[in-house]
Amino acid sequence: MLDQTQSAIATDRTAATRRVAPTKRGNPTLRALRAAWRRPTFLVAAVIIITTCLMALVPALFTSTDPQDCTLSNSRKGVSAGHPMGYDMQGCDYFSNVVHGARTSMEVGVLTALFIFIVALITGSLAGYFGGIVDSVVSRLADVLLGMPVMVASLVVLYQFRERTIWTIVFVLVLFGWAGTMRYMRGSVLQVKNNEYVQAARVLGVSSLTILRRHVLPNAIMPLIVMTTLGVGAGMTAEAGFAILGVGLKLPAYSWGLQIAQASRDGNWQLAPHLMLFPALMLGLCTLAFVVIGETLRDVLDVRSR
Amino acid sequence: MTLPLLQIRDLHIRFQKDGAQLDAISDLSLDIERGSTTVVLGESGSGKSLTAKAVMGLLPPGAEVVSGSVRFDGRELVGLADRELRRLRGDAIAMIFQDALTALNPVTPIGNQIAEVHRIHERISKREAWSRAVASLDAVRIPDAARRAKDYPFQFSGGMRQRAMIAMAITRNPDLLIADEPTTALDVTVQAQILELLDDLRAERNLALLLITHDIGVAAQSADNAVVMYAGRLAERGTIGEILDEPAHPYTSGLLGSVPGPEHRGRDLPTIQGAPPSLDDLPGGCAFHPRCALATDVCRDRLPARTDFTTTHTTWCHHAEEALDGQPAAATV
Amino acid sequence: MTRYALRRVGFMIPTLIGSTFLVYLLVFLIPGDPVLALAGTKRVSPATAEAIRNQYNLNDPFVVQYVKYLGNVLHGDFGTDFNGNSVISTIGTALPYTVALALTAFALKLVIGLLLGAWAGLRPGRTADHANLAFTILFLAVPGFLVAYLVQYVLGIRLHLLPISGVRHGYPVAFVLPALVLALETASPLARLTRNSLHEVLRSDYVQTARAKGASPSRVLWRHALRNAFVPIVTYLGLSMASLLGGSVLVEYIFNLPGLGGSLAQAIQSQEGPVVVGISVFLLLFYLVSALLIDLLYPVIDPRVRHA
Repeated sequence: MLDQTQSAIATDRTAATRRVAPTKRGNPTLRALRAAWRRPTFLVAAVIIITTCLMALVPALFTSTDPQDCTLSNSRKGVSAGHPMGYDMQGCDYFSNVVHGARTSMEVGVLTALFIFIVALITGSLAGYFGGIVDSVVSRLADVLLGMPVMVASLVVLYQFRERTIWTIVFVLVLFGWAGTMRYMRGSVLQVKNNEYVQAARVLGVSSLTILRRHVLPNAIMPLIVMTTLGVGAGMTAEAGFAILGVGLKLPAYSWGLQIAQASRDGNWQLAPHLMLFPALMLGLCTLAFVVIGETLRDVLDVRSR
Repeated sequence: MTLPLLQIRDLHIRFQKDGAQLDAISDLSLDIERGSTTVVLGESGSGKSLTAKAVMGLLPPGAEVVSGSVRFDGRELVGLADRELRRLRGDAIAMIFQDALTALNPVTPIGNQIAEVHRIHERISKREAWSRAVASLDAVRIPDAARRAKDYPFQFSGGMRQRAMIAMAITRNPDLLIADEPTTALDVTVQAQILELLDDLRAERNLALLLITHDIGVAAQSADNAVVMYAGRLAERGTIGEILDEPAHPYTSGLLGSVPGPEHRGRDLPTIQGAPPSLDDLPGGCAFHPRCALATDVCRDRLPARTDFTTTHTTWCHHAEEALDGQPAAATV
Repeated sequence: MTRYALRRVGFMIPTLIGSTFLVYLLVFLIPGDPVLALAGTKRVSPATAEAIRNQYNLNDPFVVQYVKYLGNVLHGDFGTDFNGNSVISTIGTALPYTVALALTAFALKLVIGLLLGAWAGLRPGRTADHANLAFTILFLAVPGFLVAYLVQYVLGIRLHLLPISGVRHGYPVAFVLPALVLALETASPLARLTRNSLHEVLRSDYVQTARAKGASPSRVLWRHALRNAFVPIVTYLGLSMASLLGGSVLVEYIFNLPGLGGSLAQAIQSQEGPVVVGISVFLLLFYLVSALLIDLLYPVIDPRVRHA
């Protein structure tokens, strides 16, 4: 009799680990994504991002000119044949520079967003699911970070770092930026945690980690992904902001931020507006594209989850 | 014989949904006498709430009265200018809703909300309006009315909130009070109190009550007359006694039969098979026929004509006689 | 009410300590000599270096350093720069400019955000709504400094309408463009919030009740809909005011305004580390205190908070 009950419970448990919850994987999410593709703004945004990624990964696809092949006499010349973006201050082909700048800018954006995603995912789910001390500590920390103006804090920290690489900037941005996303994730987890199927799984003795992995996360993760997409643009923008203020990447790196910064100095751009225009245009288009993707995703997912 | 307070004749309301025109209410006729309680019974989607809103002229966007008449105290309301309707609303005709928490303004004290009704309809001072508000709260038996009038809706319990909403509705002594599912959101014991309150108010003020509900228990407790609606049309109409004791429509019998009682002990509760149709997918002929045990070919093809048993008891069924004789068992297949 | 106030203040204090500590940590605990780092590429005489070291008590154990620093700061002593000028005097001179900019930007942003949002909220699904959405997304995505440069270029350089640099022309002329840029940047979340809030409120049950009482459309709108729609909006506005006061470094830098942000940028350029740290810490405190003050105003607007 006891054996029967035990094996029954065991079977139940296996069933629970396999599939107790109506996970939002499969049809609803895929349907939502397919709906997103049908929107023209989404498509345009996707094209922009894919192009930029290509620029970043394989610059040779776009330009064969060496960005360092410069003739001073060409300094600040405008658009001309063979030089669709003119020349920069040193007389180098600007188009080539801008194309090569894509990589760094994208790296900063993507890495920042990625690491914020990871940190927020882990801390948010732990804090939300386990509550107690874990939650107190994490939430307190987040409160401190959220009570600080990010720009100011980042500036003063970056100022102190002599050597500034992409990783320095990513580090600072992630440090001051993870709190907001974490809160979001934590909220999501809290919502899902109180669902009946999760409670059912717990009662059946499924381990916490498994519950987190199979039931809580898949449902809580979509909003996080939306925020991450929006975060890429924010990372790229921040890099440029730092560069303008003089605490960004150090030359001779290539990035749109640096290019904009150099153009802004000494009124260079007022004499030769194309110096500012092209990297600014690329940066603006990219951030806009990421925002459109993020917003569209949020839109399609919102309706579905209603 | 005095003229009924409210006379609805052949009301037809259409409703836009995703580009399609749906008949939300058809051929609705109803009389309400002063000081009486009439209950409109029906499931969700039967059109009962819409009827109430139509009387007030508060149809949701997309819905409009196509034809028919609604006479209040002899005055035609259909087609009346909004400004005139506004004069009646809150003053001669009042309405209360199901969920008092969402139906009351969360950021204004209750006293102000009640006083507002007076200030809308009459030029009186704030102080005068306030004291009338407190008096109304008293009339609905809220203890310590003067102090509680300064409280916000969220500070009241569910039952108290509903009383406050009633206070707001009766404060100007209307002739007709429409209550849309007033007790659905409340506990059973509180329900009884509210219904009792409504009945007392009715007696004290000669107030006509139009109660919208899906709960037969509510109807049995309070009503003088009842009207049963199905899929936007009348199924049966009569005094409460006639409806409860001698239902003459299979739907009514089904509703009554599904009320749990001691005779059901140990057996499955009889229910009406199937579900109410959605308005964009109405069956032809009598809308109830797919779920009806008495249905025959004629029910599928033609709308039932009206059959009057008495001056008060009317039903719309092709097999009215049979329905009258048959009892709950006939509808439970 | 007092309990709420006490709670908020009690909440702010650890946040204050936590954030100043974090910044202090990152500034002074980096590998290498913090004083040299503060000086950047400048050559600093050993005497000056020693003076700075003493100023920050760098010879003391770390926690003591921090406590002393916090103590100084709370007394208004933000240290001195490499030339011995007190940071607090720089802050004092710069503060009015930042406040003027913040208030002007706030006013502009209110007008733009509320009007646009309300217009869209009252006409959901129509052109107004789409325009609002487009505006929101555009200004959300495009970096603030790009808007600044664009505005500078078009209105300042090409059309010569308004000054783009410095405060020569005094208030308000010199502040129009920078305030406009800041307002555009921050109006989008407000416009979107206003639109959503209004839209939700107009479909709520209590609006129906108000109509059932015989209220005229204007009464329904002003006394019921807007009164409620404003609650989340005011909450948001509070936060955003604090953040505007927190200094907009980029805009002040681009338009050459000698406010807190501009002075901070200036200090970065001239490699005056102590000034950078000083102003930053001040801004941090300023932001926290503003947020607290605004927090304390909520119970006035939302009775539910008052009694919670």
